[in-house]
Amino acid sequence: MSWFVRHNMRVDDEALVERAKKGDVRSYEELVMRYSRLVFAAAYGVLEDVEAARDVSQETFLRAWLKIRDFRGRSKFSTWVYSVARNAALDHIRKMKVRATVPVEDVPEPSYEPDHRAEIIDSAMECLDERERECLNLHFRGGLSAAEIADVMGLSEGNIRVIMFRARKKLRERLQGRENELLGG
Amino acid sequence: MNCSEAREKIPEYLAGLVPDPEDLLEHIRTCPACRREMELYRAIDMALSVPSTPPDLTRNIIREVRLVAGPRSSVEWDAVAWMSAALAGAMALAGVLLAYFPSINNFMGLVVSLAK
Repeated sequence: MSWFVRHNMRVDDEALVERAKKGDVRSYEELVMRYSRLVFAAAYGVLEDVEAARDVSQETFLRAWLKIRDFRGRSKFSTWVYSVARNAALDHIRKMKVRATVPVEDVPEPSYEPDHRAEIIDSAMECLDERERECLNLHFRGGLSAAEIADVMGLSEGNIRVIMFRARKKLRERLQGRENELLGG
Repeated sequence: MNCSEAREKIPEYLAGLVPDPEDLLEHIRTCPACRREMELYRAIDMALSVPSTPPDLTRNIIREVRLVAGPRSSVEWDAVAWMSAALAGAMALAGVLLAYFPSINNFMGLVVSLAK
């Protein structure tokens, strides 16, 4: 981390972006540290696959580094990098469809054990609309507050809270009868 | 607050939409069924956090960015930062001296008159 960043505990994103545009890699690394969780959540929200989301997260930050001079600052860096991540994830899906003829034995095994409770929730999330899923994903996987989600999605914080409330309520209704599985009892 | 009201309020509370949750929290403390309902919502929240961000993700991204960015390091930026800090310090010192200059001037005048 550069001297400037180390000694200014919270340099704002705009200043880091300006330095990154001039070639300061360390300032860009600080942006990576701030937003890797958001980017992973954005990619996972589209792909629902940890390894693919990891690859897309890496690709997103490389793309963003190469294009950072084109970033005009009309939106926040977080909003911009979030849209780069979603586009990269959608590109990834398109590429996978092209490669769909790969023999089954060549498809890699997932590198993590699926969590039974997460599987229950994933299937229940089908009852939510896209915006509700995105909000929950950004909050729980991306670690964003309601205010930060509001920035990224271009809505008010109050709207985000209402969306989160409705989404949780819908999920609860959908999970009627599966309480013991979720509570482990 | 009764159980029906409490169950309606729990998702509102978790979304930060209940400004004064004391009644709700008091009810949950004393009602095992509603406490279980709250635990269920918490379990949903926990499951929504899976999978979490891989712990090595940020490190790997930074390594890749460094490879793409090439050997151009931040040394020059550190030098710029040091010079900026030195310049700012010098300007601040000059400002302080200027602010106190009249009293310094008076002091020198006093020394000169005493010498005479």
